[in-house]
Amino acid sequence: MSAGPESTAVGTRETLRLIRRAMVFVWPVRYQLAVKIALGLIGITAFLIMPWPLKVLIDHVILGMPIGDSPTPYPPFVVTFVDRLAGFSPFDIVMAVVVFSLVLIFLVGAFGSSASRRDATDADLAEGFDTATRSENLANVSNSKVGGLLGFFEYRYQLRTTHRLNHRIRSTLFSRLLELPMTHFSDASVGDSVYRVLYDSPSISRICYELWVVPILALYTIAVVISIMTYSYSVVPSVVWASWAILPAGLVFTLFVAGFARKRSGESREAGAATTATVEESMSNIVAVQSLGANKRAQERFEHDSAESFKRYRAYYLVVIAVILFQAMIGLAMILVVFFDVSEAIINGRMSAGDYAVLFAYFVLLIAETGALGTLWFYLQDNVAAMHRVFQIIDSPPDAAAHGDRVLPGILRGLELEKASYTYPDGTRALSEVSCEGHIGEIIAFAGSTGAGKSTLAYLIPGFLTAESGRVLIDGEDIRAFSIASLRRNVAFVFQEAIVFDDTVENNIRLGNPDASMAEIETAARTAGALEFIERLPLGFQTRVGQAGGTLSVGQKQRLSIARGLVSPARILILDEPTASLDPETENALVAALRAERERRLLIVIAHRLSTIRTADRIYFMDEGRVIETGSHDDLMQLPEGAYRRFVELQLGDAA
Amino acid sequence: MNRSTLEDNELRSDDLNFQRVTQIFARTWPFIRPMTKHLLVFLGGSAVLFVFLTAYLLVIVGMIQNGIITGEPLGSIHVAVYGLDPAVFVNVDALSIEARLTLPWLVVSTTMGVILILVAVGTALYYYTIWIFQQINQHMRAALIERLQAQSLTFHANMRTGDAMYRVYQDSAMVTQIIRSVFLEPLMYACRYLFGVAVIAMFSPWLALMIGVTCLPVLILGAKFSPPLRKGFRTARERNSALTSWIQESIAGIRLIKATGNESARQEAFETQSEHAFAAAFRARSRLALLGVLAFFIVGVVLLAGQSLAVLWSSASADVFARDLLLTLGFGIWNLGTFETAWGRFAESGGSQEALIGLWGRAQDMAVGLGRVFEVLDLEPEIQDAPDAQRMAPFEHAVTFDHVSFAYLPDVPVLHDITLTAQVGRITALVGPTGAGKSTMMSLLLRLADPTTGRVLIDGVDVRTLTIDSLRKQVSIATQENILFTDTVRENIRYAVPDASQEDVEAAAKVACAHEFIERLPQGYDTPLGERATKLSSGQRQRLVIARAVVKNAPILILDEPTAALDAETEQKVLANLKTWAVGRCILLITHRLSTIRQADQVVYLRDGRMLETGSHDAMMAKEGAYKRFVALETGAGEALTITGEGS
Repeated sequence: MSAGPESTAVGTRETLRLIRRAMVFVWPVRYQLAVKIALGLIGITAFLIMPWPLKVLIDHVILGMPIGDSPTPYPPFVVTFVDRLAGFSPFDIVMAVVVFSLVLIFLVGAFGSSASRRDATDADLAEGFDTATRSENLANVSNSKVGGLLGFFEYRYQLRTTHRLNHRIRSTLFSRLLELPMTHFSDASVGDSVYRVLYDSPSISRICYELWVVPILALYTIAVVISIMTYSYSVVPSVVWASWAILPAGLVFTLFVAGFARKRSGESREAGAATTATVEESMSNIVAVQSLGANKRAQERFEHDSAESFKRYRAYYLVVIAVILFQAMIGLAMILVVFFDVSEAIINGRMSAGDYAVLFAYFVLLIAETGALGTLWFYLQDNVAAMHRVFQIIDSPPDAAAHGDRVLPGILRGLELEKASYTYPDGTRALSEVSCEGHIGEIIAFAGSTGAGKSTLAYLIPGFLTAESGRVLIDGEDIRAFSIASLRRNVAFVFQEAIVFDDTVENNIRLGNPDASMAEIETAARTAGALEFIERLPLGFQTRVGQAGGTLSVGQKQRLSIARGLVSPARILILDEPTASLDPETENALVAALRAERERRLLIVIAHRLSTIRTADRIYFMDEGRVIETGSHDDLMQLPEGAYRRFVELQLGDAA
Repeated sequence: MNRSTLEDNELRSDDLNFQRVTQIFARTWPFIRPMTKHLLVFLGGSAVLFVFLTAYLLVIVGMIQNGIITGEPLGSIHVAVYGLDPAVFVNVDALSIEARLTLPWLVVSTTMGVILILVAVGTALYYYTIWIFQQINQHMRAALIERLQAQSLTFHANMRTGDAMYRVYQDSAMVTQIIRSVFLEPLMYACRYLFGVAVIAMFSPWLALMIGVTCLPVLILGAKFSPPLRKGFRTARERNSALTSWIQESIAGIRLIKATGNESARQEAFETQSEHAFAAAFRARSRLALLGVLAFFIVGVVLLAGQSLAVLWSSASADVFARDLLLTLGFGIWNLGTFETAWGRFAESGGSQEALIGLWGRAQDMAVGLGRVFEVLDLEPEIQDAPDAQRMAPFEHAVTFDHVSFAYLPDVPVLHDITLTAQVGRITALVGPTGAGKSTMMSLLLRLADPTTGRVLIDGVDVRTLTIDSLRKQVSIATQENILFTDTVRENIRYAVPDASQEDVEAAAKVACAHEFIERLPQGYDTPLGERATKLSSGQRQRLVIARAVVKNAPILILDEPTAALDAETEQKVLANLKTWAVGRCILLITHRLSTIRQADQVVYLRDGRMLETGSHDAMMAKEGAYKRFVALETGAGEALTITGEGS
């Protein structure tokens, strides 16, 4: 699922669908978004007034042109202010402009006309040159086109909105990851999941703002600028038509490269996810890497993956550069065309020198905003590729999908499997019509050679896997009627390969039963043969076990896992090879303890070890996904040519 | 220092100061150095572009402002560049309409030419820098991974995988910006600032003084903001790193979460950590935004004052300060062209100060990130080659433990005075209860850890005098935890020897009895496996791990519980194959299983880190010792004694 070629192929229709779905996440912040847009509009308005004071200074102070003699009309929202300056001395005009500008400096952090004299608020931090390292700024998108108090307020307001948006989507994604069926994780790397939650999900903020804030602010700016151009500068018609022409010219090209950008962005993300996986694995599996002397191999592998992800990013970025170039060229061409006509108008006195400053300030703004509109679709592509990867997870059916929501209150009688079959997603047939039963008070065992399907069979019981045909019944009812959560509360499972979390010993055991008393935890630890080593740890039960168990031996981790299963109040307890790493003494103690409390539960053990198997009331002996013999140890040993008998004999060494 | 973990650092607040920040930046040099040649090319290109652009602007602004817009005479430079007639364009009171109308053509054609060159070269340079910076980043990432992998298991027990991921990825990415944000851009802005001040001084020393002293309050602002910024960025990075770890650990332990119905607790904790991470980012970033806003207040007021003065002087057509000098550019007195030019520099100087302070703010984050990188790079691996380490000679005789004791934690001894010799051509089995120290002994042999006292010898040579690399080449291990990597079956088998041929891989798979089931997989040896390949049964995974040890073809083989997940039949086959394969090798076998033990020539019985008994199986069974009791238990109490002793 992580790297198939199909995952990069996103068509235009799919793109639109993904964008629409992203809007579901945007909806809860719609009011904040409206406020952001309003703040943006206020800021831009202030900014749109900005060129005029400069024209006043140039025309009426530097060039000494009397107010009212301007060859071009001041727009209505400026003219009242300018008319009041009539008859002022140059010094007075300058002072008036100073007062006006001071107010603007503090409110919106800007005065004068062009970019170098204006502040914008953002706090983007340094970032690297691949998709993952650029996601940090994406998760913190916020900016204001103005500075000053308004800019600062807008910045903080939007940053909060961005965080809400991102927090929500990554929480949804994470919770969905936790709900995915276990088959998903058999082939997906941990690094891939990390990548999706942390580096793909922030794209939601770009989609949100690109779709709502950018076009609204751009259209507003374009509308105002074009009206001003039309009102004040109709003397130069090319100014007006050039303003109109920029947008479509920019759009054509970006539409053309959009699919390309999407594909390359997807590839860049996949290469990044692979690199993440490599780092994760070489750290998690450091024991294997070091003891195999494979440091060099792991190093080369990482360097290769990392170089690949950089290369993919460059490939994507080439498209971006092409688009930026094209936009810049169009803008430049327009400016040059207009420059001719404006120069002529000024020389002929149809425009003033101050108009030149005003006009170009607006024109640069116009090019920037039409450019933003024109590239909007283009920049969405990168984020759509990310959303695609996010929704791949969100759309995968959770393992609860096969289940109803009735609560399984408790188990009274027991368990029954009716002709259950299971085939893994890759087509490997694991179980064929397996039937078996177990009652509270019994110990049953699944035995058989490796790969016979014992673990797969056990996975059906707590709903880790769902039988494709046949049924799993608890107290006579199909488990699919019960909610996953209530089912798993009643079925405790101890895995063959012990898993411990980076938490205290106590909490690792307590996972099995959050309400367990300390005494119960100690009892479980004692039964599992773990108490002795726990008490020797520096802080006893409060010792924090490091990543993947740190310095605990495999056997010690397994005992913790068993204690966790024992402390659980669940009435069905499944132990998958519980004793593989246990020494015989511990194992015997464990088996004895389990027998002692058998009335409380149905105990299902999967084991190779004779000492464990023989204690079972009934043994299901499996081969190639089928149960081929059923009965107690003694019954099965009676069958002269029995598979179980042969299995036992081999183990005792008689046939070796 | 070796024992200290990275987490200790979280307790520190801001311990960086200006000097430390500079040191951190200076330390990135070794990573940048390999790219020096490329950087020089890039720098040269950028400098040429900058000069080119500045020269262009100097020429063109005067032409537009004075010539086209106000019709005032041009300077001698324009005459020289465009070959204009001085009689028409310079030595007149005002330009004629006709003369002015010819100028836009010159501006447009010059601009077109200049822009085309600028854009082409600029774009190429930009793409080039991405490549350069990626290479630098790659160097640093690789160094980090190398250093992390060389750390001892004790270190890794305390390091969270997610933290390592965050450092390798996010923290190291900061190095890419060193050149640009810490060196190039500050240099550029500083040049612009100084150039601006110098140019303005020619127009008016007063203006130059104004913009010159503005840097003082800006600097104070920057100094005040730095420590809280660094602290904020550090917290933000640490919280993001913790969040990464949380996700990594959750996914790695997903089965346990499911089995215990722990999803909601896990989710809640995720959300809390996610909120904390965002809260930290919010504080740090809005502080940085505030720094920008405040810096503009200072610079903006100065700019406004300067603009007003320049406007008033222009209005009065006052003389500029260095009149004779500026006359060559056409700026003899204050007028529109003079105003635009001087004001342009003035505004640029102010803008440069703002930009510098913004960069300084961002540089704090980079320093914090790189600081986290160097924390890892500075950790000397506990286990490393001795200065005079030798390559290990081809193994011939024996592995010896000579009075070896070991403890991970000072008060918790794991091994106590172990003395043992494992001969070539023999199978030595280490037997004993969980936690007896069997796997730890193997760690000492592989130098995953070093003995506290005593020596581990190979052919009489202390392993600590050998290079780790050459040692591990001659020792092969099938680990107890069946660790697989996200790759194909084939790559998993030849993980330690990437150049093994398909025949080698298949031969190894056959020894491990894995060939048959691999062939039955949908894509055979090309079947991709996940890290926790759950579609393979654990017995199948175990056989892949054995094949991985076999394909390495090393003279010393360690099998750590090689058969725990195998059924008896498969186990017998695998052991028989291994026995044939292992002729002439030294095999160390850790196991509980009697059927496996029987294959050994020598059995060592350990308990609580001590060797209790040693000898052959039969010899020890003849005594009423700890081993005999162990065997009795293994085969099932009571009736066991009748079965054992007869076999093989």
